[in-house]
Amino acid sequence: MVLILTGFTLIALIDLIPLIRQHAKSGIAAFSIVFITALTLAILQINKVEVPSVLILLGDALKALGISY
Amino acid sequence: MRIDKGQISGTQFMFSVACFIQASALLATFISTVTLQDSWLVLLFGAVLCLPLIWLYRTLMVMFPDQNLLQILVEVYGPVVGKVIGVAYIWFFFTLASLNLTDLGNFTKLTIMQETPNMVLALMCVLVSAFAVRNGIKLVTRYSTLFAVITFILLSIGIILILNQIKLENFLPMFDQPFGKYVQGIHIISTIPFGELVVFLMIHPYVKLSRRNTTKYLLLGFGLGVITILGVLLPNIGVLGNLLDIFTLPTLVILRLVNLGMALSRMEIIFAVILVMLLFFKITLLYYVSVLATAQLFKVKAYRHLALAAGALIIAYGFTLYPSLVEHAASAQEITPFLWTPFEILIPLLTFCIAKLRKLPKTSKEMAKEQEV
Repeated sequence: MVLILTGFTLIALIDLIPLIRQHAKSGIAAFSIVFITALTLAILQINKVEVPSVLILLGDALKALGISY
Repeated sequence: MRIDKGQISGTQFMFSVACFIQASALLATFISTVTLQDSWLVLLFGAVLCLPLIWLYRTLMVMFPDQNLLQILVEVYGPVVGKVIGVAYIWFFFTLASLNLTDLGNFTKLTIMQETPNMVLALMCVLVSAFAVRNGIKLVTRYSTLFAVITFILLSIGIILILNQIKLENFLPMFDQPFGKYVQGIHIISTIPFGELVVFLMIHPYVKLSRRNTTKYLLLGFGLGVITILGVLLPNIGVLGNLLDIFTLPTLVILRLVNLGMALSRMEIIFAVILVMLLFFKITLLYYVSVLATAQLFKVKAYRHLALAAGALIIAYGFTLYPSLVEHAASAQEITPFLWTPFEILIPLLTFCIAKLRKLPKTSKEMAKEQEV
């Protein structure tokens, strides 16, 4: 957990601070969305929370529609 | 808006296409377990059937030489629908990058570094890739020529050394499978390695290419990739025959059979190194395209600042996709071809048709006229 948080803090220090300095609002928005999604997934996995697989869910939906080999 | 200032040559583009397909040599098992000894025929049929698809990508590249896929979507479908489809493409690019990263981790763990955790392998790969991505398209594609040539040389040596173990009767009987299996095999080969070339619609504005050279380099790259996969599949079938479908990595098994006295044995490690190298290239390109597409959607000029966060997302997302190699392979054979078809075939085809109907792209004169009206 500590390693994950350190890694994400480093990413924020390296990339978020220059974006804030440049006042790049769209850049900060894009960075935040990607960063928060990655951080959430990483923390869930570290805590052994089973994150449902998007591909398996889509696969099940397609199978239910009869679209599969 | 031009995000990356770098430009690459036509040759680099061609070898990038070739490397991108060559990296899928590992995934050749997806078809070889479906169509067994006829897999090489399925590959050839698939390649021929994919030519119109490659032509479609080429036509979009020629029609919109200065716009990447996300910009094309916005121009053709309008800002709202275009961006919605763009978000779907970003998901597609991230998913491809994560799937290939998972493949690289699993493969390396199985063959070279059994004791190393998957997370460490993925992290090492993404850190090196992030360096390339932050430096732009030039660095991402710089080593494509070297990788493609090394692959050709080492694969040729491997084939020559295994020639004495190939039995021609292993290719028989031909056309003995049910028709549905051939359709499935061709669908898999068209969507998993070949259709993934749609990612090059994101980088073609950064390639110095004329209309004629686009066709030449795209088709040559595609041809080189197909020859490589054929060079992997043919010896697999010729040596293993009916046993083909019981091995996860048949090429490693056949190269293990090469034994020229004490001097030359355990050749499989060379193939493993080639595959790691090619997968690394493919992941870097997909990673770059994912970052570029995200930056394009949000109109971020400093795309390099998204690279590390995107890398973290690719790693974290990759671990959620499939719980095991078996489920990944089963899904790739039964579901993935259908999932990828809209992204690789239907949307590009629809985009082309609508662009033709709307007579896009509009010239600056036409746009000025419209504004006057």
